[in-house]
Amino acid sequence: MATNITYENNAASISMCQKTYEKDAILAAAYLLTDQYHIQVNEMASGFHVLISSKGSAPVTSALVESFINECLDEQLRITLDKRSGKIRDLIVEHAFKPLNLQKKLEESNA
Amino acid sequence: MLNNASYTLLPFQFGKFDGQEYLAVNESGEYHFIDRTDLVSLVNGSLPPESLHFDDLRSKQFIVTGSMAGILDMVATRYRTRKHFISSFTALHMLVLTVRCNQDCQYCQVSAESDEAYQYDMTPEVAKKSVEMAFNSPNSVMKIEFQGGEPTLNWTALTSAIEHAEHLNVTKRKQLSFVICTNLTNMNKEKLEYLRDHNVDISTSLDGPRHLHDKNRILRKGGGTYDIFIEKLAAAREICGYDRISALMTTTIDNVDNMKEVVDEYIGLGFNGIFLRSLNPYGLAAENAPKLGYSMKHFSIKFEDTLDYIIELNLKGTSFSEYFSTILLSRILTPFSTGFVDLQSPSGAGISGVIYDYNGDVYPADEARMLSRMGVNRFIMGNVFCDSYQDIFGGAVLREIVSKSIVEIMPGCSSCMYRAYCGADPIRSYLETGDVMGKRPGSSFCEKNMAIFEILFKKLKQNNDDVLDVFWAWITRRPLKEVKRENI
Repeated sequence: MATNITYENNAASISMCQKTYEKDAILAAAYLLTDQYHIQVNEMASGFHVLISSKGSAPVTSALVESFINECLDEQLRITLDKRSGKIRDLIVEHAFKPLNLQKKLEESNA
Repeated sequence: MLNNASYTLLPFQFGKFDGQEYLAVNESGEYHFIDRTDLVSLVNGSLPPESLHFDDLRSKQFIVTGSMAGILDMVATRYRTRKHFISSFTALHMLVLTVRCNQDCQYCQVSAESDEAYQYDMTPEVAKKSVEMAFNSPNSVMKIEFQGGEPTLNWTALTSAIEHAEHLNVTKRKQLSFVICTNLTNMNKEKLEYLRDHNVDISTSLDGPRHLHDKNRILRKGGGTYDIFIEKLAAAREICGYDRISALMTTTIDNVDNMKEVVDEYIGLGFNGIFLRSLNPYGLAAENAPKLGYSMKHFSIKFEDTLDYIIELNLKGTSFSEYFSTILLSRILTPFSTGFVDLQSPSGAGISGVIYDYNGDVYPADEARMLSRMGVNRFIMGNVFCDSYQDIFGGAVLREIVSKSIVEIMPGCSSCMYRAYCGADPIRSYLETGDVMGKRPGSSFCEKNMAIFEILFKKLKQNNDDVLDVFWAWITRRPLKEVKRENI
């Protein structure tokens, strides 16, 4: 399913592909808009349906929606980054405050 | 996790910086600018070794190509160094000697009381007990800061606290120092001599030349304070020493568009730098926000203009720093902990600085005490007479603040590209959202810090040798000429 966008009554309805975006990426991108917009994220069989509507006078523009979709892509990249390096981050923080046998830990965690 | 690549990826944060360019910052605090295509390749493990970024990313610990353990040990050491303030624990102990004040500043963040409201004075007993409580801190460094109101109005409590601290320190042997935050207008020769004799630094307030300073800093009995300030500043410098007096400005709508004038005033009066400080939303400053306030966008534009002006002055031979930029640049360009209580992760509230109110109630931060003056008492950690050190500093209030002010796990902060250099303000978060962890979208605190980080990173990206030399002169507190000579 390709990303499909429709605008109506100062709101945007966006259908997003499940293969491209994970729910966490969409939620993280949506969080950034919560100051001025209501965001509904619904999980559908084919993907996600996102409804962006204004809390007040802030307009729902195509620029806003494009920026949201780009942010979803960035958040998806962050998820990939975390999958690849999250365990190493945990090791760094743990080792910083409670020194570990790093070689052993790395072997154990396959990091 | 191993990648099918010629390198192993280490953790970092990234964000869109400028057009197609992204800024990536890792746990060591190293940063790197990279375009999106290369960023995606980097994350996916497909950045080729011949890429222009490859060697840079390896030397900055974004990727590892050989043995991991040694590199992780180095990154962890740098991480620990940045977080050094946690293990040191509380060094700054602020005593509110009185809530009375002889001034009636329009932006007073503590809603000070009149000269006659003696019920808001700290007794010598509370002062001594607060000092004893402060000495329980494991930190070998101890700074006692006297605040108000106007602390010189309660001289008895001040001398009691200083002399008791000096007495206790004969056996405790901490690195003890004192500072008084005073508007100077109540100062006289005897008081200044006492401060000199007990090595008390003076922190005062100056909002600009007379017409700007007197807009908001007025006497309770009427009239501006600028002329008295200038007279007392000269006396303080003569008696206590030129460098023992520093000044802070508060930015209101009256001087936000005239910051260059304020800088000129500071330079004219012989100060070495300025902290371009925005208005905090407490006390009268909150009540009078409609007539004193401005948007953070407005502040950040003026901040950038003024920073450029200060850099130019330095390049023309005037040595003068902007202190907030210096703190942030120290975090960006060096691995050291800067100890700035207002921007740490976890927050410095309680664990780096603490405040003892006039009645012995203990708060994690001055802002929490200000909030209490506005009727919100949820941040009282305890009382010096009723509670033990363990109860106060190991209690539920401080535990909640610490656990909810770690930017590494806070929504909106954890993935922020600036998070290695930033921090949280849980008290302000609570004020703005009703939640200690707060919410970044719509936060003026976040908006301001993001804007200033962006201003500084723009300059770092431009990589102008002259500007970088000025920054290094500020960070290392050395003359610009010396820094320039070194870089030839």
